[in-house]
Amino acid sequence: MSAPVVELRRIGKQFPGVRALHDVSISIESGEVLGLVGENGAGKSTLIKILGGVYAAGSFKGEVVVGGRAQAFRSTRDARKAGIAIVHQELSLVPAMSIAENLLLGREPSRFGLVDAADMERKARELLRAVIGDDAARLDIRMPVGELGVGMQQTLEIARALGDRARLIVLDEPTAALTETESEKLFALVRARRAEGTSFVYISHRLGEISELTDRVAVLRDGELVGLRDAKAATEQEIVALMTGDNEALDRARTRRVRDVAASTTPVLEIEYLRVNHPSHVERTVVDDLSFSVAAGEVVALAGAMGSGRTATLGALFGTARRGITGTIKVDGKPVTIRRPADAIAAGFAYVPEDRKALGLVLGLSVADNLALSALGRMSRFGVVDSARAEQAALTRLRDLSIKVPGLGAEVATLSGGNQQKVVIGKWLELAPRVLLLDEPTRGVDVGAKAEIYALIEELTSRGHAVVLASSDLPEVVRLADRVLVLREGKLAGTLEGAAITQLGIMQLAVGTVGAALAQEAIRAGA
Amino acid sequence: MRERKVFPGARSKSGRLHLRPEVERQRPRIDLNAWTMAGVLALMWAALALMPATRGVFLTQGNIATLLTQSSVLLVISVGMTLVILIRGIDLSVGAGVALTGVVAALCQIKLGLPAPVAIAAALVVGAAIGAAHGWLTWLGIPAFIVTLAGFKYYRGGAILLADAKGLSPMRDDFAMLAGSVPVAATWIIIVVALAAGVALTLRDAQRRRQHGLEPTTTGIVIARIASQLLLAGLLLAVFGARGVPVPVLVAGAVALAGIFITKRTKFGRHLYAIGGNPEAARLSGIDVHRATIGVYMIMGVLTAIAGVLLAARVNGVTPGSQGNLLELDAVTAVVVGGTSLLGGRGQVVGTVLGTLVFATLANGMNLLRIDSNWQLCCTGAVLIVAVLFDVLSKGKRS
Repeated sequence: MSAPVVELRRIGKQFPGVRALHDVSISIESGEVLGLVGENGAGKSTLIKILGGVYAAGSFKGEVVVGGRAQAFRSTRDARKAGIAIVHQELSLVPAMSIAENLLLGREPSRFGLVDAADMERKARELLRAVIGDDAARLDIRMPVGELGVGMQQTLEIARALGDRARLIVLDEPTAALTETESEKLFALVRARRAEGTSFVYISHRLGEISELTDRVAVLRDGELVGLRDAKAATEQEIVALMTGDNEALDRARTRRVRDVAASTTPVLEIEYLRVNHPSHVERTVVDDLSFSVAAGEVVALAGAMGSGRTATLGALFGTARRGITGTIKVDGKPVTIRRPADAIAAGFAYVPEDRKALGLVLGLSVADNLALSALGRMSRFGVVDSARAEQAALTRLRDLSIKVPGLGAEVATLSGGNQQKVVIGKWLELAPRVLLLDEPTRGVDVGAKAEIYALIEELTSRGHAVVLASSDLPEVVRLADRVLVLREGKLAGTLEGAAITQLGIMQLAVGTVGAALAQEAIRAGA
Repeated sequence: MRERKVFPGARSKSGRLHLRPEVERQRPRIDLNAWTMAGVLALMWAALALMPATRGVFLTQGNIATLLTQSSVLLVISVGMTLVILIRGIDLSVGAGVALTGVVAALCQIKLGLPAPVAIAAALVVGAAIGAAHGWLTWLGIPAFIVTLAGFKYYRGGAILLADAKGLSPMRDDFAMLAGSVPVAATWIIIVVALAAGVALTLRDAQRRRQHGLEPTTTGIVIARIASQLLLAGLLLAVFGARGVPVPVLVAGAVALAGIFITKRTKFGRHLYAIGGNPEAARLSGIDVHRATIGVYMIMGVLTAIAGVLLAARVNGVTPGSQGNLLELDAVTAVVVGGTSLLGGRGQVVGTVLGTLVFATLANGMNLLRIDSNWQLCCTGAVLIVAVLFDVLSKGKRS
């Protein structure tokens, strides 16, 4: 192996109140595939954003060295010029433009400002041949990219990166949206390019892919590089342990109140054979025959990697998608039909979505208006709102949830993340829902507010609400859950209860390359 | 600036979260924009009254009555347009709709010899149907801009076809009464009853706040509210007390009050703000976005028909090719100048009322100053830009 293509030297990045990266140094050799793993929030995306020029030079510590020269990227364009291309999970192709146009976007062959269509097509074909070989001849190069599958789109992104003469291509969870065959094709492509000297950084939650494809694997935890291993020699248990850290002590010390779950024998929520198809790719099943029940006062957590079906399950229960959902849902023993959110609310569900700004709040409205959003009907007579009652209810929420606001009339957009989240939870309480569906309830929330939200969830369960929690924050799952359902690619990979709920246990089930029996053993040993 | 306190949370021994007793005083929500607009309007009136060039005509009973009568059709449309724009919509078809509903009302009388109430009812039904169609088509996913752009052409063409490309006039006598005035006695009764209702509502609000243990509305605010209602009623009586209020002004006033009531106090109206602010969050909160959308477009359609009938009565006829031409753009102008955001979710009917009056004043004043109508157009354009620029800049400073 020759000199490193790219070196990251002592990279550090600080966000308000959070240290995202600290003193990370990695070098990537020519023709190397480097795996990058870590839990959510470990710093992977921050690192690749620095590498790709999303965070401009000066906004972070340390330096990015390409081909022996320190770089000062001011934009992603600079990084591209230096030979670093990033293929994000959200692809950056223009759906309505053709394959050829996308491949040569920004550097169309032209004369006097007129695009030379024939030359463009020839160049696009060359680029495609380099990545998919003879298949390129069979592809209609004038087809709009939006009509292609995700796998093919990803391939185009890589072709485009190669067209930019990229020396390092970063693939961010490329297989999350791919089928088995598409993944195999992608791996073959990566191997072929590696043989020709292109380097890759490969990010994935699937450890099987890491050991199959990569040469070395870098493990990030809490913004620090905690391990750099030979991918072939390292065992998966070793990697998982590095990712989660030594959290056994923390797991045992978790402050969970003792609950008498067995006492409440009748389940509040029963789900049988829930099956959810992808809203746009109908042939893909995102939740596959999931059955579970939740008793009054119980917190059942759905854990698993991204795309494992956590959010899709909650969405199906709340009626956010209109089609492609089968299975029975019972609330208090009675079957319910849920076609839209209003049905779910009538059945006793409340939903705190993952993205509070896009889905949970109306940012331009006041705190009072947001708190009244789902319960205005209860505060009205003949359609006329009793504003005194609404204000009183809002004040009760502020008090019960200790929401800190300058006044009820303050725009909700001006509140901190934690207080916004409490407003999202608070808007449901007037309806006294039977089942709370919480998706990432503490994402982007500071530590103090986190603790308050946990206390709130525990108080709600003590009053008999049932909670379904979807979270990628493992300490949170361990802290709150009475039972954890670990999902993997839409299927139930395993259930953990009581003392068996540990971060290590969840992780092993979630990454799923370790046999379930082995995982159970590890958990027993840990506990 | 008063210091902003926050609610400090405290935990009692039981572990429940409690609020410290000192709750911050609830400031009454003051709509700065509306007050600014009212101030601008007052300044304009004062300037026009004092300017020698207007020869002291502006602030006369007759001129103010004319000003209000001339703005009534636009006001009816603008109130509806406010609701439509609140939910991120637009209705480009109202001008053509005014012609079509006017033609329907005219044909009912002239061709079929039907009495005015039937003719009016027919126009309103057509308006409601048009609105329902708009709501339904937007629900199917066609952008409101396109749906109502098609309507803009369709209704104009339809009006001309129905009228056989001829002007329709005169209207029956019972219909022409819509352009007349309410008797003096009735005017006094209507204004006094409206005033009494306003005062009663203000007092009831204050009482209900006490009942619910909320911080009471201060006496000062109650007095200010009642005083402004008295002032408004007094002004109206000064203008119309001697001759009776014109029917178009009465209708427009009722529409404006209904618009204010709906947006401020009804569930439907509050939901419009949520839908315009974030439709997905509104849906996930259980709000029936589709039903509300269809409702808004139907209201717009009915108001279009009311405007069509009023205009047909005022000009005592319908010219299908030009009646109500470009009314939709005047309405959008009034709504935007009144502080409603074209992006949806923000706006007040009060602002729209003031915005409409600003434009009516401008037109009236420039006529008195004998300014050329083409210069008037330029002036209107400049005012639109200045008003929105002011709004954008003041918001920019706030954030």
